[in-house]
Formats: sequence, C-alpha cells, structure tokens
Amino acid sequence: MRGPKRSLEVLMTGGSGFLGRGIVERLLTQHPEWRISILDLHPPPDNLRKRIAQFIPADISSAQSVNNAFVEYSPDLVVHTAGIVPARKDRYSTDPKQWEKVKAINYGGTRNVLDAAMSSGCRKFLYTSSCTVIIDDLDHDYYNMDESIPVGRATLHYGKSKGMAESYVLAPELASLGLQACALRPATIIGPEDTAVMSLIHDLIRKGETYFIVGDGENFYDWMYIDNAVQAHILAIENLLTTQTAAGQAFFISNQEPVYFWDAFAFIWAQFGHVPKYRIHIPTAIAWFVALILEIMTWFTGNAPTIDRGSVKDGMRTHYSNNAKAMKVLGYMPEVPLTEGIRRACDGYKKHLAAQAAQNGETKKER
Amino acid sequence: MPSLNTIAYYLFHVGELRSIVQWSVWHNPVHERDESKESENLKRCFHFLKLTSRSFASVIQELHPELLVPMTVFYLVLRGLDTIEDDMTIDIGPKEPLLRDFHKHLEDEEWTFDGSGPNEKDRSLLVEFNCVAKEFNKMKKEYQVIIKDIAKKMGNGMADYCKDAAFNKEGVQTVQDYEQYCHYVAGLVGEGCTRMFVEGKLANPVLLQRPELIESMGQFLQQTNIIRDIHEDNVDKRYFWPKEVWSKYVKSLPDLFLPENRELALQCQSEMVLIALRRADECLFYMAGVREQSVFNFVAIPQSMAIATLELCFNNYTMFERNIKITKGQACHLMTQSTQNLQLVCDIFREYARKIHRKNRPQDPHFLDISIACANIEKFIESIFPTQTARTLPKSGEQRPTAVDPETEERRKREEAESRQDMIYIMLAVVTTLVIISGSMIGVAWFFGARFDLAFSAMKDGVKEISGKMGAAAPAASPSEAVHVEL
Repeated sequence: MRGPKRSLEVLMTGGSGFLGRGIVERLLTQHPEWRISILDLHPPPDNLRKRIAQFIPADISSAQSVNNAFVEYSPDLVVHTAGIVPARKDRYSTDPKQWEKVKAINYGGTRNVLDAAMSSGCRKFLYTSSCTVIIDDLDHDYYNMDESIPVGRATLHYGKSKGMAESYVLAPELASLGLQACALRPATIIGPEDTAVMSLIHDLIRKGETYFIVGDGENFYDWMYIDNAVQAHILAIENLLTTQTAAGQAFFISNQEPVYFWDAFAFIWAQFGHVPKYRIHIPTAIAWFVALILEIMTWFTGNAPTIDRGSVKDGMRTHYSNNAKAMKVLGYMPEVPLTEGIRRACDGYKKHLAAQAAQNGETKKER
Repeated sequence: MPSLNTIAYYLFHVGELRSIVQWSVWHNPVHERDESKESENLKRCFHFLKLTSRSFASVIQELHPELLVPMTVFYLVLRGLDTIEDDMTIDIGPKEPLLRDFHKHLEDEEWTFDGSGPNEKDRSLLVEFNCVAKEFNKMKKEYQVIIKDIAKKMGNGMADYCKDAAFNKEGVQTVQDYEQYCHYVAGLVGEGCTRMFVEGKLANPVLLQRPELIESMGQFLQQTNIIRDIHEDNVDKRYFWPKEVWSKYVKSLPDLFLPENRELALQCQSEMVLIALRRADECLFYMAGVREQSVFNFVAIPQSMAIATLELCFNNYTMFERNIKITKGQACHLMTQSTQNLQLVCDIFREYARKIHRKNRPQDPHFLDISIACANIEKFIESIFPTQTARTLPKSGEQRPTAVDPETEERRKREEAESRQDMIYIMLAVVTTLVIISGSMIGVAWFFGARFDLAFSAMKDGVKEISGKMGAAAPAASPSEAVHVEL
C-alpha cells in the first residue's frame, strides 16, 4: 500500500512538544521503517533526536523560515501539532497585539506549513486542532457536542485561531488540489510530561484557592490522557495512508469520561495530599461581580487578577464531546482510563517538582 | 398506629408526609384485578403473593391482564425455590435434588412439600404448592416454557452454591463470582420477566438482543440489596461482599465492623457502591424499551428504590451499625415519580446521582471513579433528553452566528424592537397595578385610623439608636487593636 521504493517520510511539526514527542515516539516503535523528521522552534531531547531522521529548526510563523525547511525535502505526510496555547490570564486576553501573535502562530503557521508542504508535493496532512474551536465560546454550554456544530462562535484567541486554521486545512479548495487532510479536536490533554495544565491546578493549593467552587459544581468537563491522544493521531495517520475515509473531516477526541469539573481538580489536589477541609459554593452572579471588581482594580494597578470574568465562566460551564464519529471512522477507543491517567500525570508532576526543588537546592548551595 | 418517633419525623419532614398522602390518595392503578372472574384457586395464589412479598405484591397485581397470572405464578415459583434454598434445616443431601428438580414439579398438580423447617415464614406456600401448579397448567404454553426454563437454571445455580463448601464457609471470592451469584438470584429473574414482556408484546423485542441491559437490571437491584444488608448478613454470618474487594481494606470481612476500621469500611463501601453504580445507565436504557405503562411501573419502581437506597448507603457509616432503609415518605415519592414516564425516572436518577456526587469525598480512593460514574448517568440521560437552556445552542445547530442576508437581518431587528416595546408596556402595566393596589390598601388603613406618623417617628428613633450604638462600639474595639500592635 505504501510507497515501495523508499521508506515513508513523515514530518512532525511541534515534535519537541508534549503531544508531538508522544506521537513521534509511538511512530518510531510502531513503524520503525518510516523516516520521521521533526520541525520545531526548539530541538527535541537528545535521546529522541538520536532516533529520528533529522531535526529541522524553523519558526512556523515565518513563511520564509518554513519554506527554507522544505527546500529539497518532500515528506509524504505532515502531522502539524505545532502551535501556541495562551495560558492563564492570556487565555482570556482581549489585547489586539496578543491576538496578532496567537493568530500568526496558530493560523499563519498552519498556512505556512501546509502551503510549503503542498508546493513540495505532499498531499497528506493531519492537523491537531482542538475542541476549543467550538467551546472557546464562553456564552454557551456544549453537552455531548458532535461535529455537526459549525465552527465560528469561538471568541477566545486560542479557539478562534485554531478554528480559522482548521477551516483552512479542510477547505474544499485545497481538497480539489488533491489534499487529503484531517483534523483532530482533542479535549484538554494531561500526562506525566505535561507541566502546563498540572501547574495551573497545583498552584491553586499554594494560593489557598481550593476552598471555593464557582457555581453549583455540577458542570462537566472533558479530559484526555496523552496516550489516548497519541493513539488517535496514529489511527488518523494510518487512515490517511490507507482507506482515507477520514480525509476532509474533523473529529472530536477525548477520554469519553466527562466528569464534574471541580471533582477532577479535587482529585488532583488529593494526589498531592491536599483535601480542602470545607468548600464554599460561590453563586455565579457574585463571582462574576467580584471578578469584575478585581479586574477593574488590577487594571489600575497593572497586576494580573487571579480570577477574572473569563475564568469564572470557564469554571461553571459544561462542555464535553461525543466521539462516536472518531470511533466509527478511525476506530478510536480510549485505552487508558481517566482515573489512571490523572494518577500518572500527578506522579509525573511530583517528579518534576522534586527535580525543581533539587535544582533550587543546588543553586542555593553554589551561591 | 405509628410510633411517636415516626410522628415526630414526619412533623419535620412535611414534604415526605405529603408524598405518602399523595400516593395513597391519588395513585390509580393502570389495571386492576377483577376478583369476580377469579377462581378460588387463583384467589389462593394471590393470597400467597401478598403473604410472601412485601414490595412486589401491589405492582404485580396492577400488571396488564395479559401478564397478571403468569407473573404471579413466576413470582411464587421463585419464592418456593428461595424458601428451599434458605432453609438451613434441610440437609444438602435432600436439598440438592429438590432444587435441581423443582422445575419438574411445576406441572404436577399433586406435588406439595411439607419438609420445610417450622420457622420458615413461607413454608405454607410449599405445603399448598399444588395451587400454583394448577394455575401454571392453565396459562399460555409460551409463558410455561419461560417459567420452567428459568426455574431450571435458577434451581441448578442455587444447588451449585449450596454444595460449594468454600462459598458457604468464606463467602464470595472474586468480583466475577459476586456478579455470577447476583446473576443466579436476580439476573435470571430479569431474563424471565423480559421474555414474558416481549411475549406479551408489552416491551420492545430488541431488549432480548441486549442481554447486558437485562443483566444490569437484576445486578443493580441485587447488588444494592447486598450492600445495604451487610449488617444483617454479618449477624447471620453470610458473606456476599467479594473477598477481592474487602481484602484490600481488612483481613477478614467482620473486621469491617471494628470501630478502628471505620475509614477503611467506608472506602470498602464506596468501592461496592461504585461497582453497582456503573450499571445504572444501562438500567435506564432498558426502561426506555418498555412499552406498556403497568410494565413500566413494575420495572421502574424497584430501580428508583435501588438508586435511592444506594445513595442512602453511600458514605453512611450507620449501615455497618444497623439495618437502614429509605423512609416510607421517600418510597411514596419515588413510587409516584416512577409510575409516570421515563423522563421522571431519569430525573430521579439524575437527582440521586448528584446527591452521591455531593457526598463524595476526595480522600476516598474511588472518589474520581464515583464522580465519573455519576456523570455517566447524567451523560446517558443527556443523550435521550438533551438539556435545553438559554446557554445551549438551538437544537437545529444550523443557525449561524451572523445573519445570512440583509432582509432577514432587517426582519429580525424589527421583531426585536417590537418585543422590546411589548416588554415596556407589560412593565408599565405591572407597576401601575402595584401602585393602585398598595395605594388603596394604605388608603383603607389610613381611613380606619392607622397612625403612620407614629410609625415614622418610631422608625427614626430606631435608626438613631442603631447609629448611636455603632458609635459607642467603635472605641471599644481599640483596646484589642492595641493588643495586636503590642504583640
């Protein structure tokens, strides 16, 4: 089925990142005959770099930089996971400069990579989109959402930029040029090597903010363990190389275990030995009002508020996806259950914290 | 006559008292037995039904006429088997063939059994068992085949357990054994009932192709009973909680009852609740396949009771100290809700799933799994009855955030303006009405001599007094402040 003359060339953008690394490692074990290259701003860890065909340093937000990478290089398939996730206060930013930056990487970067890949002759493209293309619309709840919901309501920078990129990738104009593209929309991914999501939740212990629940605490949130996300990507790659039934399609993927939003947090805190003695439910209206006051105050002082209206809305709304399509077309089935996944992620973060503490100790000694 | 305690309880739980009254006054059976057409023999069977069953007698008697007699006979056959199995005065020697061959006596209008122990409360049923056989022979062949088949499977299952020395000595070993046991005592009943419902064209035949749904119905009920009865079973030295579960917490099952193992007992309990809770969504799925109201009531009432009982047990240490059960008021409320439609039963399941979720403790090792199981119940309900609020998208999902063409946009704006105008008129009408009513009330009061001037001056004094006190309190606070500074 695959090209018989030479081994398959796969380019992985963002291959040094949390998800990208996971996919590269799984591809190396499952398809050792393939040649995997990583395109990223930062080099992958040494042990991974030794095992791949080549590392191409490039900045996807620059067309020039990306085009240089494709000189004399024509992959058979591109997996595009590179992007930027504005976290913490940047998630709810309305700053136009910030938007230009996010758009240049997530939307512009995707265009640069896809255009360059197509000019090099590549016609297979797997894009790591995000469930935020739908849910970064804080004004709505999304119960059991499926792919029939049109993209375009997202207002936050991340979901908006990812949605624009996804629409570009799946556009019929490019398909008519022979492109077979597919987009995966994972829920929030956690895993042992992730520090972004874990640090966000873990920091609340130190800040003493684990005692409050905004809203009734009965809203759902959808998570995804890294191995399951990797598995879905492998299945999508294999689909594009064989039956191609996924071409032109977007798929929601998650652990399919939506859970009460605040319970997942409480479970993570408990893994670090922290169980809040009491939990106060803050009515939505009050929380929103307090957030507004804090925002106004911090607007004068110039500091970042701990809570703002965006995070209040984020903490009380419901969203989870229905993966029936991914299960049917890709054969996706979550392998690692959520409880086990979060436990592993917490163990990973404990190691990270220990390493950090050791490092701090050493630097202190040196001083 | 209700006890003093009961009276006191319902004085403080008027809502539950209301449920009892509501159920006893307003509940209309879907079908009623027509006693005038019943033979003496059939009346005798109903007599035994009422004698042997606390909870099932009324729902069975309200069943669709097609199933009334078959289900009564089925129940009495199972009760007969159960009476023999439970009877500790019968040796395994004679007991084994009795159980294994029980199905052979169903057609035998002569067969009776008087070998039960004197204390068996249902021994009279077996003494007069031939009245059941007489009804059995009169029913449709199809129902006979089903009842006989289930009686055979169950009798053999029970005989196997009676012979199993390890089971009798140490109780259930693995979770698989536990579910196997529940299958014999409850799963098979579900199978028999479902086959009869489908035979009577009162349930969707597709149910027979989903044996896992049928199994969950029985498992959910039986597991809940096993969890709730732990105290009673421990007194009787019968152990149904699987060793695979309790051995994670204590060395022997009775150790769960030791005061120093309180926390471990609760953790063990929550694992048992979790195993049962994972069945709940399939129970709802099954109930969606029932077509006829009386059959729906028949299956839904026990399920609602089960989820309420499970919630009562969850994180409740009292369960290890004495027998617990849901109150009569709660039961009546559940029965009223469970005898209407699937949506109300779903509401009950959602309500209790949330109650369990709220009682869930993060220090419990099963915290997240229980949370996921509760959420899963809600997720299932969401798939059949989608939430529609101001925060969800309109169902069509097609509606674009931007207007399609200027004409529709124009029309939309016009409609919005109209509705805004309507709103203003309504508000105006409301305010006018309020002003007129309160004005006339105050006017009438004044006319009859109300002294508003006194009221006003009293209010003024009150305000002065309060502000005066606050002024006095302020200096009092300063000494403690001084202490803080010194510290």
